[in-house]
Amino acid sequence: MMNNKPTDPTSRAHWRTLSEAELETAAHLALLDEPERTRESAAWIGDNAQRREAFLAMGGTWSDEAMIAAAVELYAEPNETSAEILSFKPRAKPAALTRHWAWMGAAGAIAASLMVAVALFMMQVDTDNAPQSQNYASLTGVTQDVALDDGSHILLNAQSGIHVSFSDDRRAIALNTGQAYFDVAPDRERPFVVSTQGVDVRAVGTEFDVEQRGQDVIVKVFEGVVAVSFDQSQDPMMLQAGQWTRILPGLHPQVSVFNPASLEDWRTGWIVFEDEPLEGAVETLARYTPQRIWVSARHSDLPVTGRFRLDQPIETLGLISDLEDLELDITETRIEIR
Amino acid sequence: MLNKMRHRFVAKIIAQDARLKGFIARRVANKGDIEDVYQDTLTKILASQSEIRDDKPLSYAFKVAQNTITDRYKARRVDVTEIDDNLADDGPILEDQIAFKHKWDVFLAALKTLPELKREVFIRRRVQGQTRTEIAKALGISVKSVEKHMASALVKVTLYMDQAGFGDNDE
Repeated sequence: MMNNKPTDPTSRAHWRTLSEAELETAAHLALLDEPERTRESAAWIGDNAQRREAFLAMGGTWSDEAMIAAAVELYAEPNETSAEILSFKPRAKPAALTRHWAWMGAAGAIAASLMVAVALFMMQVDTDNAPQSQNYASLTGVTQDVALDDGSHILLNAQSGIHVSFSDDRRAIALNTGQAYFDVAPDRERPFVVSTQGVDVRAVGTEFDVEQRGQDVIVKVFEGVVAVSFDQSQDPMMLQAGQWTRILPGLHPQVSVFNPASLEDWRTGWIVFEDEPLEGAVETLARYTPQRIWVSARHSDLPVTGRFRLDQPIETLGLISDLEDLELDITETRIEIR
Repeated sequence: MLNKMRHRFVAKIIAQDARLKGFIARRVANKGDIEDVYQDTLTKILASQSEIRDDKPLSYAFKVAQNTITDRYKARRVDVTEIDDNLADDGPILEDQIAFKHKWDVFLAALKTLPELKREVFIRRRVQGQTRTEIAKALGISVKSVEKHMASALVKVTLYMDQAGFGDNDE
């Protein structure tokens, strides 16, 4: 058995030389659901580069599209691809075709709210009189850079507001509305905690982005590690650089990956949507236009995909409407998507 | 060849299971429905005889998932054939396709080396999206055995790929 043997981080880690038991542990951890997957693997890996490589290799196999394609082929055509698999008991008919649907009562749950009022921005009144406490807000269509006393920088997306309150043991930021990118100066004595809609994102020295989208909170980590707490009864979820999550009220969030080097985000003036429900896409764009935007309920779930300019929200909405064949009605004070 | 396309199409969806589950999660009233809808969606796509092309698999899956959900709630169905032709993926270049096909074949060989029960557990989890408990029940083994089989299957396949020269490509 290998134990946390010191490894030279510059040399390639040969995970293959680990014992079979350790490889199976790596596989077992790679197969866990979040948040246990991140938490338990981090504890098991420690500084051991071999273990980390083993964990990544197992996860890589599990999510490899070619592997999944091969597994699908074996599942779909057991007799053609493999004679011996036939000896196993025949698969039951697909469950979906035989199952009896239970009537679910909550029909309203999928009917999204009739109208989405977005872009309503309200400045929070500062009730904290401590000298280290301050509100910052950005205007429609303009991002704003905020330099804090501790050396951290915050870039506010348009129509976003934060409340900063520093004490001796904590740097607390409340994201009151919108979205912000945080470049945090390291300070082990005073953790940097961003709170919004019941979610706490805690960092020591790192770069990350927090966004309110409807009732959801989206956290993206560009550098370092952050701890995200959304439920007091559970341990926080650890997110590393290149990971992001979307926290929906009452549901367990999944961790997804993105490329932090690709810079395809709002800070560069562009926004990329991948099957984002129209409602969420509009909320993001609304930060860049003074008009209120209304989306008809029957389109609120429509998936929007593409790369759009943020500084021309009306053109962008026009493009989306053309692509999706929607009707766009623009007046001086409001935009309606029907 | 036609079937190969379908297999890859389904694989693309499964590879992004977190996205599909997120889509479903936003549309169902309770958490417990997510796995059910996910499994039914995959089963429907696997069993479907309708024509599919290698573009926008996730959008297709979203529409099938939406229908699965609306069937539950008896709301209006989405026409699955109305998939947008204009927004096709940029297909991979030929060289990538050949490399992908080769890797696929090696994975197929790797999976075939697994003992039957291990392979069955592995496929039920990865392709059909069944939970550990469901697999344990269906195969008459314990949840702990299911976990052991899954981990050991994953090790065997990963080692096989490593020996076949794919070790450095793992992401």
